[in-house]
Amino acid sequence: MARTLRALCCAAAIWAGGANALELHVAIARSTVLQAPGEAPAKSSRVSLLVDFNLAVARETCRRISARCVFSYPDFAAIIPGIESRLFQLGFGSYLRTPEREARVAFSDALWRSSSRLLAFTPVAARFAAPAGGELTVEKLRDARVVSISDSQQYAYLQSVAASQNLQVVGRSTTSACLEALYGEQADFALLSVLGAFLALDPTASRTPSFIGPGTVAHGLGGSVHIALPRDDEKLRQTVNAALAAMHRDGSYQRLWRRYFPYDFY
Amino acid sequence: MAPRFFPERWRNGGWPAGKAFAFIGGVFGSIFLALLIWLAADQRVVLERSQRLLDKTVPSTLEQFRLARNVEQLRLEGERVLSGPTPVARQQALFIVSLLASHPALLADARAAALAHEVEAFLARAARADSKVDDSAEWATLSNRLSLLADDVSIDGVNLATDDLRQMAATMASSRVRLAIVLAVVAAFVGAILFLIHRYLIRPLQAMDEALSALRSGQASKPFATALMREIGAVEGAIGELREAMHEKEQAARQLLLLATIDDLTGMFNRRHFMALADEEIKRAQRYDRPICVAMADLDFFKQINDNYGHAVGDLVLQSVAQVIEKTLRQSDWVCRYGGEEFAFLFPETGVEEAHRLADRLCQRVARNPLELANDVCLPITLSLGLADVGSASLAAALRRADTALYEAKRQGRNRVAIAPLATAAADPASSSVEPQPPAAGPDPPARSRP
Repeated sequence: MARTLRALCCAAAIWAGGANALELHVAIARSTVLQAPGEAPAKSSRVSLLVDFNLAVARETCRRISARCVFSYPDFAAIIPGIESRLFQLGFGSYLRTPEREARVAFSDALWRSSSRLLAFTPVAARFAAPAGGELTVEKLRDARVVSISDSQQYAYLQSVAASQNLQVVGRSTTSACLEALYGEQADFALLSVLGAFLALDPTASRTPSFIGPGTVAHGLGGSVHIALPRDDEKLRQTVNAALAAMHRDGSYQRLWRRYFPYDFY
Repeated sequence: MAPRFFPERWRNGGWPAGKAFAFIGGVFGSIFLALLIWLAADQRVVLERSQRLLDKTVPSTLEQFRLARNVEQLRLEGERVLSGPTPVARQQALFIVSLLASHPALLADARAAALAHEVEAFLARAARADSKVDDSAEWATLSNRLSLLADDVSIDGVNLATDDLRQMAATMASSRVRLAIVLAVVAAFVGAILFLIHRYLIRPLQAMDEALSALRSGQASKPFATALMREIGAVEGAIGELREAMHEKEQAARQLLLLATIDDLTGMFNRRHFMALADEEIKRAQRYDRPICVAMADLDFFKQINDNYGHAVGDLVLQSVAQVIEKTLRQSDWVCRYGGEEFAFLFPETGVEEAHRLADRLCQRVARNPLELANDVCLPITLSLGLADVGSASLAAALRRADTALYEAKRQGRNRVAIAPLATAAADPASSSVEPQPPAAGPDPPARSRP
């Protein structure tokens, strides 16, 4: 009897140890604070809000799935390769779900929704106005230099139409770097996630780029945003999805969003 | 009558109960299963609609509410763009306007996307520092359109849920009707089964119980109606056979009793039965000190009748006299063919005088009823009778005294009644049980040598 009890205790201890042994490496796409040429850095930059929000969601997810998480902040382009190589188990980078990415990684249920939009300084945009009139859109853009985050969906789309629309596509690692390219006249336009661009724009600056044309979700430039996970770990994906669903059900996710953003974008 | 598709032996020989009830159960089971499937169809629709409500409609409704809130926020941010105290505040509000106008939910709704883009363009123009246009009237229109759009989107969201809920309510109402029908069918089946059990099992069993009770009490039971159930019919048949057997046995017993107590020629009690009954009656009369008399009678010249006309005529004479005796005696008087042409009588509750009158009347009636033979011959018949008061004597002693008196009547000339003198202690020992011997068939016994 006593031997049986000892065996049961050992089994329970091993099981508990196994449950506590879940350790996840979480990658969150980093951001840099935009500093317009000739101007001092913004006093209260909003560009890190998305990073902070992603970190908060990651922490809450880890807490709910009882995992010990180690956080790191690589470039956006380094996250998916990191997950493929098992360097990371969770990747927060406002990832749109595309067939190409799904061939490389798995995705959680939706976090929030994104759309894309062109940005440019107004005089520059006026120079590139569509000859036939009407509003300038990314489909109508010709003979321009367009900057976007490398390895992003916007970058992939620009690459796909660059030849046909005679576009010069410029890649940068962060949203802020893309805006710096606009300030530095290394690009005429930037094609960015609206939320990312909004957070990176400095309203106190005397000269800021404007949103050009309507927002779009076409061509994979918008849609739901997900956490990237390893493809071969379905159990982890289901566990994370269950945690996200629980967060939505009890309102935790909504409160987290409101803590960082004064508007609804999920 | 069973339908034609049932086996011939079922139609003619009754239904086997097990198979009949299995058939009924199978029919009901099939009907009930069909009804359950019918009911399950509604349940499936309700489940599908509730699942759709959960998976699609509720999220869509929440999406509509969220869109309405964003439209309203777009209007508020527009107010801030126009009324912002500083250029930075106005720029900040304009950024939020641009952000909201690019919201995927707004872009997915054509009305909202067009209006949001229009509002954003207007606010971008208005926010320019060099704008000198009075834009309050246009903004009032746009603001009003945004408010109306927010209301419309909210109502659309409510309608989405309302439509689904209305459909679910209709399905539930239909389901309730179907459930009531199913319950009615089940109740009807249970009622039918109870009726069939009562009609074809309980009632036949009650009839069997009544029949068996009737057999126990010796009463004749009514024949059974034709049973529908084969097993019930078999038991009823067995009870009927039992009843027939018992009836035959009873008839045989009755016949035996008749043979044991009745003289088959005259229909009177035979001597043995008479002696048993008379002995009991005399004991009863002596116990209660009641008068009782016995008599012995003998047909006069019966031997000559037999000799002259044959034994067949002699038998007719005996039967004729027996009929006269039966008509003359009272119901309380007992008589038997004691042997040959001799009869014994017992007159309960009757004294000697009354018995004498009764005996005289009997002699007269016998004498007045000659036997008419076929060839117009009229055969006179007379009867001599000896009467004795039993008193405290035994039956045998009383009969012996009556027999003595009978001889006296014969001696005095026949066709009359002679009364035995009262018994004396010496002449009538109570312990004597020797009774007068009946004459052998035919002539008077020589030992008695009646005159």
